Amino acid sequence: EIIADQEFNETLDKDIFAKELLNMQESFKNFKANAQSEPEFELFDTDISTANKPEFEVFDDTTCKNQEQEFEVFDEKKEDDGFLLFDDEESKDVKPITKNTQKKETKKLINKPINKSAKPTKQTNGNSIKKVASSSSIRVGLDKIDFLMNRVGDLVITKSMLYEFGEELSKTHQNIGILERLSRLDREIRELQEAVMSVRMIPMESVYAKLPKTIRDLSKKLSKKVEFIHLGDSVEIDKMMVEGLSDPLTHIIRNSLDHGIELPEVRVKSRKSETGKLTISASQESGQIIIRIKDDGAGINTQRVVEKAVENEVILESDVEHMSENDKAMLIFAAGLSTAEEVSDVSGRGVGMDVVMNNINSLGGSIHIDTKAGLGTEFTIVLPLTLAILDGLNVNIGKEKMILPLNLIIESLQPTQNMIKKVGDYDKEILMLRSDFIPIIRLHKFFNIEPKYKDITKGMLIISHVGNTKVAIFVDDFLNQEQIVVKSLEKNYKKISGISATTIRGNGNIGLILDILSIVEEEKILLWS
Amino acid sequence: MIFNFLNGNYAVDLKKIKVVLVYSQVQITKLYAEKPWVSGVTNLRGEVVPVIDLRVRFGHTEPTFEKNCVIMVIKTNEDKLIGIIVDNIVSIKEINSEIIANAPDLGVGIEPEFIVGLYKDSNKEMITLLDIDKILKIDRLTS
Repeated sequence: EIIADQEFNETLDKDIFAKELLNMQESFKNFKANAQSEPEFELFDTDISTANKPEFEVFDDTTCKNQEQEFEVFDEKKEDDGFLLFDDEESKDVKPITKNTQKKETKKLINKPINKSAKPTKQTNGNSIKKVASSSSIRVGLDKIDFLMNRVGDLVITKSMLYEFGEELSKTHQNIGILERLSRLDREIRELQEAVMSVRMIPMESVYAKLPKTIRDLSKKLSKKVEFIHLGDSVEIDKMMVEGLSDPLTHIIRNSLDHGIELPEVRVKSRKSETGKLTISASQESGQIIIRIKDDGAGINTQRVVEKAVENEVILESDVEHMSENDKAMLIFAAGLSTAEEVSDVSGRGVGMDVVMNNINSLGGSIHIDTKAGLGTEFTIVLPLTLAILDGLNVNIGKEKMILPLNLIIESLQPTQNMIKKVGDYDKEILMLRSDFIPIIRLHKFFNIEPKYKDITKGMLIISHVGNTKVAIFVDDFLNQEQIVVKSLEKNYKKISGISATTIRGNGNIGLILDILSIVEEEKILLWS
Repeated sequence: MIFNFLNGNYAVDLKKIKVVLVYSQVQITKLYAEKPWVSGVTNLRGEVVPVIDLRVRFGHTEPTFEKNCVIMVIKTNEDKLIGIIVDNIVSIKEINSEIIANAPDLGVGIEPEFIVGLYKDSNKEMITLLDIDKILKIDRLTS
């Protein structure tokens, strides 16, 4: 009877899955149909407006449009010209064009010449037509891609539901090979998901596009000479990320120019070339995007930063001696701190770097500084590849199952008693691992859950990254690794401490994704590396 | 919509209510380190919806769950979906705005600012009209 029941369940699950797949197919069809209908729309548009005109005019209209697009593309946003994603600005500049054609129509009725608009396009005529012919890309609205992404997300959820069921089934039925088949499905869904994800990706070029102008203007204002080098233009980054990234990057660069790179005279004196060098590079390493902004200026005056920080009570004077140069430099991210002697319109108000930190954190990234006096400063920003789906590790705390993002995890171990050291009277524990001393966080204490084990040697320690330091997280046990679809908590509620987001598990329950960074901040562990 | 918890009758605007779920069929994931009246979050058709236990919010008691318990999912004016747990649903009634009396300073569990007014129905029962938007305001839920 149980078996029959299971089989029934299986068909039920299959049904759901088939529906999901059908949905996917439909949305793909829609996607295609919509995409196709768009160029049609363009033709249609020009057709109406120029129905009675000679063919040349029709051409002119399309090229006119093209020219304007290119103009937009190159000058203002510098999106990659192959694949332009629709957004507000885009639709704005489409509207005037249609107006334009309407105007033309009315003008034509009055029988006036339309040479005015035709003239400038003539010159670029050949060029633009070539562009049209050579590009085999289409424009798609961002919302459509998001929709597609959500469907894939649902598919991932359904898959994990099926997987859980399959595991259950393989316990009673051996050798039916269901897990093998499911893992094939898993692979295929993963590929599909990557493909959809890649549609959202645009090259770093678009992030860099605005920077040369900023740098040129600013270096002129500060009468400094700067050479701007950008590397990794073709590294691809999530479109959502680009919006959140452009402000912090601009801010760091302004900071580097103002405080980092010295005036030409000073540079010559310290035997450097007159022209400062500002390098920004992007690369993709192990599922993360790493952006480095490097200048060969004076480096951060950590002495002054520390003085200011103590003055503003960001840190205690007694902490200073424990801090490395880079830790001291990190203090510039504290709110309300500025080392500039004078407030200028470039910098000095002490707002900004903390905003940079917040922006990067809200993108799920981290930032750190490497500075050497007299040689320069390097900012390193580490960002996740995407915000929508991540690989997570299920961990057990008492009866609860929570998810730890896999990209943060370095290693896991079951410690022996002599690896655990206590500091002072506090119940703060430190893990001594090889040459590292890693603070331990007991998750059950943080969330106030009754754990299975209170003894650290019985449970598991998971060593993970926090910024550029490490923490050891104590959990009862860890289970399987799983691909999870991130669902924001803030949409219907608000940000809560210790939890970065949620996900929907295979059985329809909600899983909580741990936010190690905020846990660490709340535990107020002093971070020294 | 009139509902009942802690032996009192309360009402909220029907337009605010998006869905009503039976408590026993809903899986709630606890959020630790939150206020006691935040029961957790639940999955409503792919959306993550927080659930507030009004009985804990206003009664400061240990909640009991019987089979009549329901979760009403409310769309607040902050455009968020929030579920509230109540003991049971009584009825749906049209309430004339003229016969709503101002709430006296009750000095009981519910702060007067959360109450729109009082209303006496035909069975001489008192019904308290709640200002659900105010109750479910995110920063009010957390302080």
